[in-house]
Amino acid sequence: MDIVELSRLQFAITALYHFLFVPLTLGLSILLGIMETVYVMTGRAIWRDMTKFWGALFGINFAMGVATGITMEFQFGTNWAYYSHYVGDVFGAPLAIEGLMAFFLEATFVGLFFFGWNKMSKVAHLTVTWALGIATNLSALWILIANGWMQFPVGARFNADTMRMEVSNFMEVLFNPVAQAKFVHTVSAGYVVGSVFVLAISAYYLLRQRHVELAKRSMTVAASFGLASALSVVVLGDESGYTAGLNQKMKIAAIEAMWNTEPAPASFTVFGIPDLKTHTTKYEIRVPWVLGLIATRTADTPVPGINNLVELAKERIRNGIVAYDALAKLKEDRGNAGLRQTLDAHVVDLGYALLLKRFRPDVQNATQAQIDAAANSTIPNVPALFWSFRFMVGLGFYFIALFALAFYLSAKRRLDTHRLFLHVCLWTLPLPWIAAELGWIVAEYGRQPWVIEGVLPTALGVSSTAPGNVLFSLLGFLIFYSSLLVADVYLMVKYIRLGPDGTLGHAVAAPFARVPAE
Amino acid sequence: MSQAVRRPHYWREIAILLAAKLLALTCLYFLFFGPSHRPLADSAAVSARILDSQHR
Repeated sequence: MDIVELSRLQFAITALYHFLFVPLTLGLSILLGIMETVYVMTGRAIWRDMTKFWGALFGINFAMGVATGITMEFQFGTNWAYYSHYVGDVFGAPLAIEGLMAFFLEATFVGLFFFGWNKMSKVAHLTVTWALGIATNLSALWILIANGWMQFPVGARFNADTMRMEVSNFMEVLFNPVAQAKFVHTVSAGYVVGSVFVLAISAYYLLRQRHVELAKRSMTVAASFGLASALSVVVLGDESGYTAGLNQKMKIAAIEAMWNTEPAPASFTVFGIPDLKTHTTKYEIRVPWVLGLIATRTADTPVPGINNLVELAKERIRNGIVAYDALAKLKEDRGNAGLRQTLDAHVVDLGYALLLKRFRPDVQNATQAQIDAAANSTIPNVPALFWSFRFMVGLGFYFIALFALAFYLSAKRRLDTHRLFLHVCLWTLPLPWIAAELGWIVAEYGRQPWVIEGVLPTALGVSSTAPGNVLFSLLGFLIFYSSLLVADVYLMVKYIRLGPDGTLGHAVAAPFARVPAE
Repeated sequence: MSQAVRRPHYWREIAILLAAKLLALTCLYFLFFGPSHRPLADSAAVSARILDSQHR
């Protein structure tokens, strides 16, 4: 493996590992707010005990999430130094704000949440809990603004003198439609993870007839919040897909394994086996009109196919070569206004010319065969995207059905009488994590070969360090993260088995016991 | 008669831990993050990578 593949692998492993913790933090933080609100409104002590118990599990997860997030920020400097220089002016700001949110806002409220019980009034503590949830979500907002810019780089322009992308309109970066859609889709997915976690652990208690009152109430909260979240994930996922279609047409075509543009409205392939060699999809089962309506929200706009987009990429590469040539000459003749004008006229396709660097160093002299090869390199891994997307969507609909059933049983007060349903809830535990990871695979794998869509190819973003260094740190991460995972699972299992009584150090309050007024 | 509970002081342990942490961070810095390990990526380096006709 070369330095590019090793750096990508290291980032992928650390990011996917980090995202095991993030969605649970996002989901549980809001669920804690809901539970404590009920406690403050009703004065019933069982809701305080619920908040404290789920809060303890939240604390274990939160610590792991912070620890694994830090390493990713360092990688931008160590493994992606050229990327950091080229787009740091844009990418650095939201990343820095995210760091501030995570370390100052979130960490402060986490401390107050755990150590503020009995030291603050009920309402003050409730305010802290909600502030924790809001800070956690704000932290996610900023990192998704940074990621959204990588998918749809708006509000920035290339500066030939500094050789970097620079912010031209920060509000465009902030209100990037791709980032906003990704944010709401991602946090909703986090709420689903948190809800399934509470649902599954509560089902475990009900199956063993332990902590029945606490478990039933927890399941009720998880069922209603989870149902709303699961519905949101699907609706907002559709919005995320639509915004991706604005400038990542190749990603959409690859997700659908749609090789050629077909007359509008395009059909949706429910099942098929994409063949990379023949550029066809075998054994297709298609539903007419659906893709066209989802992807374009019209009945008369075609969805471009992969082969057609490759032809378009060839044109953009040729256009980019003009920009590249002007840029190279400008380095020798900085005051030449004509060259600067030529660069400005073609700079939008400069990134496409950079795709040729993989095939020949002197881009201006590329042959037609090399242009064809560079254009073909814009096709991401179609089978991986096709299947990742379908599993993710399938799981999304499964969660809606699961939460709807849980909600129904909760409303009928029959949650603890259906053992089969409780078993299903328990075994569902890993599924939202799988769905969330698949979502990131679709988003990031689908962006390849770009690290910044249409601007900077991934291969040009890596540091000029020795592959051995990256391999060494990659092995270090694997060993360290595996130890962390063992510690995390051990702690989670320990406190879940201990249950609320053992974790809190006292018996959970009776269902209708009230906490005396302050 | 109530006896005041004496809480154990952990100053020594905390000091040792902080010193060990500082030592570990210093070692990590010199082993992996010191100036000799730092990849150079300024405007000139980016120009060279992108525009150099020899660099792939």
